[in-house]
Amino acid sequence: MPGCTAFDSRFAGMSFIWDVLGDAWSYLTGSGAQLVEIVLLTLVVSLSATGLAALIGIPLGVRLAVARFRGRSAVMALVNVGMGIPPVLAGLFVLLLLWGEGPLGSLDLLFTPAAMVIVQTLLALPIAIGLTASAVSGLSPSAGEQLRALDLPVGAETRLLVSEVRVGVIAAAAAAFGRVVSEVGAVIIVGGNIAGETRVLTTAIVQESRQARFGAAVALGLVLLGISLVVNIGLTWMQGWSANDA
Amino acid sequence: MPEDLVFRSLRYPADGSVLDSVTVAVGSGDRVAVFGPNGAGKSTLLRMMAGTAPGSTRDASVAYLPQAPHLFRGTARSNLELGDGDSNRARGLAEELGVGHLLDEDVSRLSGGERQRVALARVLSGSHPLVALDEPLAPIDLVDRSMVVSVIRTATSGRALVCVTHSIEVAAAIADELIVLDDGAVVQRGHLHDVLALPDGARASELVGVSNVVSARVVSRTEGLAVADAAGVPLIVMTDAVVGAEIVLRIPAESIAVHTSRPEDSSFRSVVQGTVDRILPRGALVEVTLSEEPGLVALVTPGAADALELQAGATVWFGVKTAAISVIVER
Repeated sequence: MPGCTAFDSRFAGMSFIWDVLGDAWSYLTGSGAQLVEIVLLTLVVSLSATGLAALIGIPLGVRLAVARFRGRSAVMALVNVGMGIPPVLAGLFVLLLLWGEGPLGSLDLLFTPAAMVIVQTLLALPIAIGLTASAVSGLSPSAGEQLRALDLPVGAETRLLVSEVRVGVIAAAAAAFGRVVSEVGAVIIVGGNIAGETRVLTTAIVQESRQARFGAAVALGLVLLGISLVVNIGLTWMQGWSANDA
Repeated sequence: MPEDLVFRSLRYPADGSVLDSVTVAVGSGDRVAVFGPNGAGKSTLLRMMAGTAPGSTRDASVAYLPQAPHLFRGTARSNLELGDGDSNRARGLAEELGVGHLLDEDVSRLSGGERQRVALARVLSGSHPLVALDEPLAPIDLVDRSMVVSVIRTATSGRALVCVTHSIEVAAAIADELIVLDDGAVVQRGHLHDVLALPDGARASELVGVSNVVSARVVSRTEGLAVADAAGVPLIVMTDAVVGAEIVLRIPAESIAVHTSRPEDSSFRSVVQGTVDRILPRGALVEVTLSEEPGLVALVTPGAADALELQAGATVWFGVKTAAISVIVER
């Protein structure tokens, strides 16, 4: 009976999912050192890239919001485009830069974690700049007028504004981290997904899926989800804390 | 007085629709109030002078308090330390302004008046040749205003002060010179007494009001009240000025009631008997001037002037309520 077949196949489909989840559990409990290595590299690469992008992008975002210069709207447009640039394109760009005969080929960075940090910093930077600039632009006109009245040196003015919009700045960092920890296109191109060297959670998921080791892929996916969750809960807590605090 | 700072032909925007070619020149020690109705261009004038208006460059010689001063996240103390003021002096001024005990308070917990005092302490603490204040007393409680005025005057002594206000009382309390601004242009400028006593033209009279500005000397006093002698006329004034002090009083002309017999109404604390020198129309009202010094002027309605059968040479009594008399200068 056709109805029975459909029921059976649906039933079989469900049992496949249960099998995958069972395998995922075995992977999580059994793969030990290998999994820890992947998670650590993921954290080191994505947090370094987020940190670097924040360090460079947050001050740049503040200046972009308050400074008046020729070509400012062109820079704004560039930042907005950068916020949505496909990771594979960024990966391709850095690959060409670091390739043996490329301009930075002599640094011998290709297929190393350093190359992955570089490409992820490039991906995170426009987000750090753009969201910081938009937070500063959202300040009240009276804050802007007061700032012009104070006439502070550039460094002091930038620090004051970062502190003034710290909730927005934390959101920028969270968004940047979210973008880099979840992307696969850029790190796979410049890192190469070498086991024990440049394999991170996303590239490992791709690898395991392509070899039909779905249990491992799901396990790695759950870990990735967990990391995103923990980092975002942490940043949200910081936002609440700084909103209540001075 | 040397004119140290000249702001020439300030215009905003390019077509002058908000501010049309206003020149302000101030020397050290000058205290100028820019007075005018809402939308006259007062704040724009100040922003042009400070250089915070779009398209202008910041003038480092001007300490500038915007109309709605913004305090940045942090404590009152961290805000006092911003900018190029002297933070010790700023803390001293905060103390004088009555917010010394709030220095470690988060600014989000301060009231509007307290925030204004913190911002004022910061602005006054520098050594800029010119201090430009936009409505500095607006958020300050009435009872604290004279204290704040005296802190402002002391902290800016020897420097130039330009203060924007839409209150003639505040202008009179804070400044020695007055610029009357209307619709982006100067209507009248001059010494405070002269402008108050003789507004130039219908618009200036309408904005400033017709006032008696009289010099007087405190001859006796009881608690809170003093009797001041103005060219032989005794006036009861609310002031802390000591006996012998020379004071300048402002009595708005419309606050004086005119009687053809000595008023029995005890609410008039000062009653001045005199002879009508002249009766002239002033806008919709009638201006009645006494021939005796100090030549007090009252404004009454044409109906009242008719009912009282006022004419030159008639004997009248001017009734002045103590609360209507303000002391604008005390020495």
